[in-house]
Amino acid sequence: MNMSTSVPEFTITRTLNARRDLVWRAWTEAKELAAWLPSTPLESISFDAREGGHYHYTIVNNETGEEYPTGGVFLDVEPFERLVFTWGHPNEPNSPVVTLTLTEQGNRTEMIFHLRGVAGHPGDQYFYDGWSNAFDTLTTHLLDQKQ
Amino acid sequence: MVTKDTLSLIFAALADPTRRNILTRLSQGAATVGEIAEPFEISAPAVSQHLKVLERAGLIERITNAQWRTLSMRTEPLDEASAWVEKHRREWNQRFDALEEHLKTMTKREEQ
Repeated sequence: MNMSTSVPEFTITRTLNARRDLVWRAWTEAKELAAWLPSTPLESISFDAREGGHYHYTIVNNETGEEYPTGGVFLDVEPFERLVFTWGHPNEPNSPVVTLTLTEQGNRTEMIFHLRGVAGHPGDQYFYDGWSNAFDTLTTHLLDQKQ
Repeated sequence: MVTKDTLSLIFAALADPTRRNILTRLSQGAATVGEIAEPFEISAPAVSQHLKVLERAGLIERITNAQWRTLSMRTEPLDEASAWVEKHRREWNQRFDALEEHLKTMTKREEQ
């Protein structure tokens, strides 16, 4: 097994050929989200992109009619720069956390999307800091053991 | 096929530093409950609670023989966690292809 990929988190980095304010709108406005989220009807999308605000959308399988409600809460919102939100079933208390970081590069935008497999519980010591590092330590350690 | 609930159990189990330390210890080899508890300044019931969480997630198993009860680590759940990550990485990459397409449309709209 490959221990290094067993960490329940990952990062995707892309340089987008668009201004940062447009990327921000594509992530925070229902009308724009409906255009790129997979088979998500506009009327199922509600977004309140401010700290503590909630969002909700439903992906519909067009063949079976099955619905996949998704939602969460915004943990940190720095307009145009940073968006942190829980991501999962709307009633799931232990959802993954997405951290989206946007950096201007002239007329282009670097987008760093980080998804961490579990949020932990608000108020615990590893909610934001420490979790990732500690897990890295564990996996590095386990990797050493394997060799 | 692993259910979402199993994954929640695995991730929740891994989210606690004490439990990660226990796993790190067990990755070096099987140990007794006493050996596991030793480095932690927490009560025996607290250790026992952590072990239950790890056991429920399938990350450890208890082996009982005539004289000893030992704990050992199971790595399969970590493979499942890894598969979960790969699936979501793939899905989000597909979404970002669609996002890039849509940003072209938005940029054109701005220019008009």
